[in-house]
Amino acid sequence: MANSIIAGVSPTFGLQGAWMMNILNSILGGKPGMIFGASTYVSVSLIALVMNEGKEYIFYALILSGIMQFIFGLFRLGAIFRLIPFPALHGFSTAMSFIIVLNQVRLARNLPDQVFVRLGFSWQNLLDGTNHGSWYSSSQLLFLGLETAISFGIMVFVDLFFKRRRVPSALIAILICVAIEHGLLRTLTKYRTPSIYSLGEVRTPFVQDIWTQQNFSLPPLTLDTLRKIYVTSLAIFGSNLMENALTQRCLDERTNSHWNVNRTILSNGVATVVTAIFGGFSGSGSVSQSLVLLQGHGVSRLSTFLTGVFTMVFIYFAYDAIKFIPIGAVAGVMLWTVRFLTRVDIICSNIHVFS
Amino acid sequence: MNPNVEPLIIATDLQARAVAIPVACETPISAQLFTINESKSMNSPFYSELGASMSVDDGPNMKAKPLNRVQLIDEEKGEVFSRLEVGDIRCLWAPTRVYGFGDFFNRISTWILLNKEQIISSLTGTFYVRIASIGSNLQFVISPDSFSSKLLVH
Repeated sequence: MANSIIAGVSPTFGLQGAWMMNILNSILGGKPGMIFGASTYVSVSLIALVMNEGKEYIFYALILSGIMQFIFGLFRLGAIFRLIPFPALHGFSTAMSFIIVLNQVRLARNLPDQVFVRLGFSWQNLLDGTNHGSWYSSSQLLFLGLETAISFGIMVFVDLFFKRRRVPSALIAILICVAIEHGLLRTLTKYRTPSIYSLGEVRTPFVQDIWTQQNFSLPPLTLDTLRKIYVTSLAIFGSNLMENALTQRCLDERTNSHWNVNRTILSNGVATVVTAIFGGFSGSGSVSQSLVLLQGHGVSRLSTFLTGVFTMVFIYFAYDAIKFIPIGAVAGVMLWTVRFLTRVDIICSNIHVFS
Repeated sequence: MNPNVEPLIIATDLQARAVAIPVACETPISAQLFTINESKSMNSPFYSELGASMSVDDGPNMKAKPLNRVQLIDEEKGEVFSRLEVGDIRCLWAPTRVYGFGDFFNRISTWILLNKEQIISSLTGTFYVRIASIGSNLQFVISPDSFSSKLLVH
């Protein structure tokens, strides 16, 4: 399989989108405690547009999808989400839990994810290890697994036996794993496990609108441009709607609260437009990231806002502060947060019914 | 002063605030906002078993849940005012005069104290936001190792 390298865009735009989306949504009325980030579905929807038309069109497609969401929320069409049945929500939750677990497996690969470009190709490549990526060495995998297990064990222990703690168990687990990695493993032995730094050092320019950026020569705003992007925009619009609604319902149920889904969609639409104008990849509500906050009782609008602020601070000013965090620590945290999504008893009862 | 409004926390000066805030801190912030029922996530029936989704109304006549506000009394002026509840972005923002640096830093420290759960959980979440964002970009066939705008396509 031949690989070609063409001019594209940087992951920095995804990070810019992450902090802008969170800040804007917390101000404009998104679900409190819900974290917004780059969405896999948006990425998949954009691939065909980039390959067929060029990367310059993605921002217009995102802006158009944001306008669609804004109109949807403005006319309060969220009532249709009442039609989502409980089994669909349960299926979404369970599927997300599997995806979160499998995403942690991906972290065990060096330069992991180009293989996910084509649907149906990913699992074959994940197994045979060909094409752009290899498993870490056996020693790295061993210590990576150990750190994941330690992080997971700390989360379980703290959550079960220290219910009235002030510090989130996730933070405790990450700090202990950082101490193990840099205080013991790298000091006393020659081994090391992959850290956030291993994902690539990302240098991020500050916010600049897409019309003045040097990297892009945007196409003119004509009907022909609209014809090229509207299908992609519709796909992004639909996937964002569903992911926002389902994520919000999951959080509503787990925080025993209720929030108007129209407000979430409307604010997400505005945030999508603004984020795209400033060159960020917008997305939708993320279950996995929201669950990390929920783990630490971060359920308010302030927590969403501060997540955006902290992300901005870390990518622009303090990248060195987090690049030493071992990936195994974060993987352990995510594996424990999966418990919010999985209802083993319902799965077992369904298996019993069908059998 | 409006006698019909029952104050929840009376904080008119530094001394009163110093008394009121520790009382407010006795209850975890999350419990003041929402009740996170851990057993609901782990053991209890899900969604009150099918019923909850039917009772949720997002229709055209549904109004968004109003922001929780706390009534406060400014005894000097004899006025009642309200502020957003703990956990909101502008919580503890009170439209009253700041009495010097001490009062200013007292308000800041109190805000941090009251919202420490939200702050720490946000910090924790940020670690994963970065990993997830980069991972998502990788799915979008973008090279992770440079800002030189490389897009890998098979």
